[in-house]
This record gives sequence, C-alpha cells and structure tokens, in this order.
Amino acid sequence: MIPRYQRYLFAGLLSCSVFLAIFLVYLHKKNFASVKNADNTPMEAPVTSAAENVTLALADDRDATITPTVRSIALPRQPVIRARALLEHLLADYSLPRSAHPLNGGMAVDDVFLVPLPLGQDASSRKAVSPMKQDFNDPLTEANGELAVVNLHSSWVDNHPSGITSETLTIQSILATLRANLPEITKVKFLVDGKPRATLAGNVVFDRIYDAATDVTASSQTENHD
Amino acid sequence: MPQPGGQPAPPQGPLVLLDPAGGGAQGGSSIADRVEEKQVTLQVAERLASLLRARGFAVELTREADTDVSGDQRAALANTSHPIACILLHASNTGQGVHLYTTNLKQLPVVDPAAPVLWDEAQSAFAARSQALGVSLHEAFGRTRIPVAAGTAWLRPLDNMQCPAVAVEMGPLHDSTTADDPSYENKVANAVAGVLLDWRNRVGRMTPPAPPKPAPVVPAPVNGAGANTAKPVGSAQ
Repeated sequence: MIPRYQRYLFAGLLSCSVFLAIFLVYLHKKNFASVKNADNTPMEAPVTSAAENVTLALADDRDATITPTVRSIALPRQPVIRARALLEHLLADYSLPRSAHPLNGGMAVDDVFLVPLPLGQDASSRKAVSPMKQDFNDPLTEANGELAVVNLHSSWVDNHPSGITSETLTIQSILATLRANLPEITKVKFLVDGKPRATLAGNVVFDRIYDAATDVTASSQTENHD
Repeated sequence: MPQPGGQPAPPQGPLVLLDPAGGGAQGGSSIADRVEEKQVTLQVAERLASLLRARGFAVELTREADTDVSGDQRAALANTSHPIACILLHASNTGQGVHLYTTNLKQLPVVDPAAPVLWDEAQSAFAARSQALGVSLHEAFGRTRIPVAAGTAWLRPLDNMQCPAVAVEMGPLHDSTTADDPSYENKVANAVAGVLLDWRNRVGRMTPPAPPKPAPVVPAPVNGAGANTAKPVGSAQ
C-alpha cells in the first residue's frame, strides 16, 4: 500500500515535469524562431586560392609616376570578384604609412560590374543614325572588350585628398592595375554610391568613360638637387 | 572697349588669363595650418599678374577675391577674351615641387570654324599649343631649384578652354616648404612670367579662328516655276 503522502509527492513531481516540458517547448519556439525564418540560401563554398603574382600599378605623388609592382596575392578566379579584390588590395596599399600616394583607409569599392562591349551591336540600328550624329557616337557602341563599372563608397571618395596630382594618380593607378591583370577590360566608368560624380575631389573629371589603355599617361620628371 | 569718358581704350598688350583655383565655398586642399588652396592660388595669381602687367601684358583673373566661380564661368571668360595663354593655378599638400598638367585631349587635325565644338572637348583645338607652352614651363622650372614633373589630365575647366592652357600645381618642396611660402610663390611667379614673355615673342596673339557669323535665311526670289528654295544672305551666288 503506497502511503498517501507518496502519491501526492509523485503527482506533484509529475505536474512539475509536465510544466517544465511545456515551458521548454515555449522557450525553444520563442528563441529559435529567428533562426528558422532566416535566409538559408546556401553560401558560396569557400574556394582556396593559391597566391599568385599580380601587378599593382602603384602611384608616387612626389614625381607623379606610376610604377608597376608585382605582389603575391591570393585572388578569386571569377573576373568580377577578382577585379573588386584587386582594387581593394590596391587602395588598401595606399592607406599604409609607407605609401607614396597616401589615401584614407576604409572600404573603398562597393562593387565592380563587367559589361561586354560593344553595346547595341544591332547593325541595322547603327545604319539609322544620321550623318550629323555620327561624329558624336557613343564610344561604347564601337569599343571591344569589356566595360568595368567601378562603384565606390562615398565615404571613401569624400575623404580623398584634393589636388590634380593626387586625383589623377588614383584614377590612373586603378586603370593601369585593371588593365594589367584583366586585359579584357578596355573601358572604365566610375560611380559613387551608384551615381556619377563630376570630379573625384574637386579637380579631375570623374564622370567620363575612361579608356584603360590610353588614358594612363606616363609622367616625365626632372629633379634638381642642391 | 570704350572708356567711360568716351575715349578709346589705349592699346593693350597680349592678354593672359590667370585662373586661381577654388574660391568661396571651394577651399581646396589644406596647405598649412589655417591656409587653404584658394588663398595660395589667389596670392600667386596676384604676384604673377603684377609681374606680367609690368612686362606689358594685359591680365585677366577669373576671380580677384574669395568668391565662388564655377568652372563653366572660368572657361566662358577664357573663351570670350581670347588670351594668348591660360594659366590655371593650383596648390596641394601632396607631391613634391611643381606639377604641370595639360589636357589629355588629342589635337584636332583640322579646325573647321563652322564645325560644332563639344564643350567638354573645346581644348582639343589648342592641345598642341598647350603642350608647347607646357614644355616651355617645364624647361623654365628645370632651370630653377624647384622639382618639376609634367603630365596630362582630364580637367575642368581646362578642357573647356579655347586657349593654350596649362595647369600649374604647387606642392611642398624637399625641405617641407609649403606652397604658401612667399619666396616659393615668387619663384613660381617669376618662372611663369619669364616663360610667357618668351611665349609672346614666339606665337604672338593666338586668337582662335572666329566662328562665321550666322546669316539670316530668307527665301530666294522665285524664278518662274522654280522651287521655293532658301539661301543664306551673302552666300556665294
């Protein structure tokens, strides 16, 4: 015969167990709801890239020159991501204390897009252009290769030093680096937070379409020492 | 230009346009403690203007005070006054010595006065002459103790100007002398003035070809059953 107090104790313990079980289920639902509703799109599998030699066109403010410099960097293979990583490496190099072309650090490149050229290849539509307008044809309808659209963060552009030399060298350094490592890029267009900006930092034109091959001009230097 | 008293203006020497960068809200680079680019460029422009006027030049400045002047206004002044040279003065706290910039535009092979000119490519008709002026300046600075470098750049308002145009950017020197140093400014002004004196002798007045005056179009007299064609007044018969 089970004593009455033991039956009451058993019933009490059983009630506690049931209550705890219900409470645990409630907590589980409450705390893991966000995980359950999260975007579970599988991420791109990490790819291990071996370090390779890439050419960075490094600028020097003192003599306004650009020097191709070989660096060993691990870069992704996909051209779009590769171009972005390349520019991040280049611009991060300029934020180092030893840089001869000092720029502010921080995230510079938001995105890089590659657009195959020429745009609007339809020959029939080209014939429809009047002779008067042929002199002002969009060069993107006649160029070959790819157009790289480099979208920069305004936080980085706003802090770029003002000056013809500094601005010119930043642009030419980007053009030469892209050209050296991704030769299919023939034209480069810059955007800042998705919009064109007239000048990089008040002097050099930033809203034109740059030719990656011909717009990088070497500077001559004469230096006189006392 | 007639003077207020009705007297004709005395003959002036060849005109040089000086464009001190910045002004007003556009401070530009920070050259030194509480010294901005716009102050330095105006000081150099005033020094250079004095030197040029003493040598018989007429000088026009795109701004003579701390005022906001847009790039288009600067270019418009250059394009309406037809100077023999346009000197764009800049200053920076980066680089070393003086950096000279001319346009990146290619020289047009033949300038047709009647052809439309793109605003962004107005300088292309003067690219070769700008390059020649830039070479002269490079040589002149090479004779001084100021380090000099030269290059090309895409610049507004330089690319919009119809005159031989060179941008002169003053950076710090070896001994950390900044662009606001008066002796540095004097050296630069003297070198540029010397080159312009030689430039005047070399090329004289380099007035760009004037565009043809537009003639009103009127209907041609109808001869018999001829077509009602229109001919500009003064056109060759």
